[in-house]
Amino acid sequence: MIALLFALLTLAMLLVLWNRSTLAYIVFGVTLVLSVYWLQFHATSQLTIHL
Amino acid sequence: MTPELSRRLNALALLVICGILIAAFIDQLVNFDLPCPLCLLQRVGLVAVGFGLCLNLVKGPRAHHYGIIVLGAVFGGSVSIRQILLHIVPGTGSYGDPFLGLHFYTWAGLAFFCVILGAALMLMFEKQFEYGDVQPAPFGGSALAKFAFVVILVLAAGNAVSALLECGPGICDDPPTDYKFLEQLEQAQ
Repeated sequence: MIALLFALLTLAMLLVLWNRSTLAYIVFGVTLVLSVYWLQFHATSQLTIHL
Repeated sequence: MTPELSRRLNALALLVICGILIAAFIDQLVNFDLPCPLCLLQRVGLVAVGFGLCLNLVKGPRAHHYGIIVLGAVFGGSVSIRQILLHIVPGTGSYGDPFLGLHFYTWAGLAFFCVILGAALMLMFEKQFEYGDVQPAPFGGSALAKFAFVVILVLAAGNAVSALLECGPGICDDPPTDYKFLEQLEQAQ
């Protein structure tokens, strides 16, 4: 899943290079939403620290 | 500030981002310090900042490109703060070895703070957005801008491959112990 985030950002950069800016913004937006979802997943997962 | 100078500064900023990603890769490959899921998400934040900088390099500086840079930095900074808070209580340990007295996630937090500060400062120079009637050429003919773009592109793709080998298509182990997907591939052969 995290590999997908990097792949999407790579694609977004290539789209900018290929003059497809609108599509690049959409891909970036999707990546950001997925990243926040993934952060929320890891931020609420059970911690492995012991006090 | 002219559009050319702005583009040059954006290229330098992108090279700094690339330097941070390269340092993280060196730590991963040389010291076998596998990045945790939150570490990988901070790298995603750095690449997201890089995407905004790429827009400035290819299309020329625009205010909304800086907005994208700030969005990437806010995301990455949020991840950094989350990880700092995980280990802020004495006795909760840390992740990875410190570098110059601070852990990588603390350095990342500082880097994202600097990115937001830098974007705010750059937005104050409005003349960089004045092109007249001429549409700026891609990269503005700057070799530095082209070089920085290629480096971040290679690093983003490299991180995609690295994250795939470490985590596979699913959830990353926390903490990671090995290249999970690579081992699965080797066992399948």
